[in-house]
Amino acid sequence: MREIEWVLDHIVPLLVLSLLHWILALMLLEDLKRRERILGGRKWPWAVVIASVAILGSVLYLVCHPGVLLDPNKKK
Amino acid sequence: MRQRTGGSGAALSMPTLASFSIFFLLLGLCALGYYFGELVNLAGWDALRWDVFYGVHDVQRLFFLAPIIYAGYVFGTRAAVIATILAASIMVFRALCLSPFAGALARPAVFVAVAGAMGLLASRAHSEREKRQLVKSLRVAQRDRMLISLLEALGEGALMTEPDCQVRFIGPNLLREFGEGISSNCRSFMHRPQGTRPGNGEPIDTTDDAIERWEYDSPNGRTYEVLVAPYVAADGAPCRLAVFKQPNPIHSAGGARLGQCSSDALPCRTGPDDSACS
Repeated sequence: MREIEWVLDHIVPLLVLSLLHWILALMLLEDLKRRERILGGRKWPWAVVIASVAILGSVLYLVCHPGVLLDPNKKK
Repeated sequence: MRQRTGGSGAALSMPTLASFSIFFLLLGLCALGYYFGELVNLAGWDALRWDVFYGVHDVQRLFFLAPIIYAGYVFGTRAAVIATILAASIMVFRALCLSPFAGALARPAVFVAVAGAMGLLASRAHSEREKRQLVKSLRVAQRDRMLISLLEALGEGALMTEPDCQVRFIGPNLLREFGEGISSNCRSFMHRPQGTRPGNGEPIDTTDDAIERWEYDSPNGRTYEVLVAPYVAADGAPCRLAVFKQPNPIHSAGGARLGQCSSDALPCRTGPDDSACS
């Protein structure tokens, strides 16, 4: 019983957090792939930061490239 | 046909740099408020150890509605999703590492679902509103094009002026007569000295909504019958549209209704002191 509680208290939030991280990361990586101009000029460091630094890497990318927030039809 | 650019376009509104700043500021403040209790503990600010910072954080969670709805309304669906994910991540981290309460994930999960739905609804409502505005402006622009095409097809000269008497549009017939003059003052464009009062060519009716009929003696000796009507352009500017009828034996037409007008009579109707066009 205690093991189940421990799983619910620790593993489930961790899974949720990683799920959120990857949803956000995939959205941003897709944007990174399409983007022509990028801060720093190279894409791969940003890809590493977004994928490996959970949430904070994505936030950093968002702050540096706020155009990600716009819908594709608004960007045109 | 010549037309002033930028006047009658229709486009979706673009968020400004301030909009992005407001979004990140709101999100940052919400995150700060959510972990303010821990910050107080860390910094040792005993005077700020209030109970509200150490409860179940339902109030603090409500603050996240602001960036989520703002993002949805200003930026669109994608931003609403991103804002919801960021808010959820901030909450999950607390549930994972800090919260002493059992089932700490349930309340944030419910909140995030509701807040995300609200953000999506806000973005949907805004995009619907923008689409309606776009369709409306396109329809009005289409109306302008059709009207101008019609006037041109009839062989009349057409001239549209803005409230400040700047020429916005000149049809090809008048273009041949007077030359280029987009964005110039309509009085100087039609070879009339600026600042002079109209002489006997006062418009018949001077109310804003009235259609006026004048005679206009151009400097090249031709006499036109001019019909001037208020006209709301595609961008909503209250313009005046003047139709110049081709030179004809005008003195027999119109009779008493027509005001006698020399080159003073112009589409930009002015008050008694002629200040609007000076």
